[in-house]
Amino acid sequence: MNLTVDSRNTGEDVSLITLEGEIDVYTSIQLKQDIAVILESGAKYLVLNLSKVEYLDSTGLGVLIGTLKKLRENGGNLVIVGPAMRIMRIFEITGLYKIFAIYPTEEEAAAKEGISI
Amino acid sequence: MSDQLTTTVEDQAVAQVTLVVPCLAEFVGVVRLAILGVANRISFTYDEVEDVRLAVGEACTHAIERCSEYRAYLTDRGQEQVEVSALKIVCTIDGSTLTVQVTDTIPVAEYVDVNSNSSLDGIDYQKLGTVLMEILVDHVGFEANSSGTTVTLVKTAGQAS
Repeated sequence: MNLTVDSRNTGEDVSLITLEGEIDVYTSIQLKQDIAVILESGAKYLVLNLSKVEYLDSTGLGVLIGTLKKLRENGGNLVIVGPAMRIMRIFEITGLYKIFAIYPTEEEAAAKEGISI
Repeated sequence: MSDQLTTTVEDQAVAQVTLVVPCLAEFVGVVRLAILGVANRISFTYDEVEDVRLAVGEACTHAIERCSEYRAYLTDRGQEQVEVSALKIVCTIDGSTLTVQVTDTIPVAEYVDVNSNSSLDGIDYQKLGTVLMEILVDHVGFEANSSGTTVTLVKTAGQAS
């Protein structure tokens, strides 16, 4: 299975990216490129909906960490929404849940982060 | 009351499944799918099967990244590109223990990792992959020599990793 990336602007500097499929060594290159294009368009806040992501490996985590770093350097943030239990476990065992803002729903993310989704 | 139907996995003979794929990123999904089938032959829980699948995926990713770097290294030296290397995955089922060996053919002694691109925006995800493997299975072993590298992953059903 490949990865589909669907993005839309939900605010002046907020983009919602919905991912579906598997994020691995094959698809993470595409994901990195797609995110780079979105960042170039001026987005400061990225909301990544992972509810339809079935697999995430270290290369995918690398893309997420790199994106988080870039956004925070510009005063923004990367917000993760709806990861399945299996995906959430990867954030937990690597300790990365401590550095990412992770919410169960887009509504909760919008309310807590003060952004429009 | 009858307990005659009770069987134990210890009764089963050692079985081996071997898979050889090109050392390319697009084949990691094929390996993960095959591992899912093999892991289901053991009384692993759902989480344990997923742990094995992820760990084997990381071992393959490790090899594929090094293979990609090796090709770049050869190109930089003006050497002709060799054919795509193979990645060999040997799964051994022994009772409730699964051992998976992932072997590549990248010559470690010749290849010096001077142009490593495994660092993505300062994140060394090869290291992240190694950490994941160590968390997900009971034992991780690395053996590298001039003919390649073998990553050995061992997981036993019912043991907390």
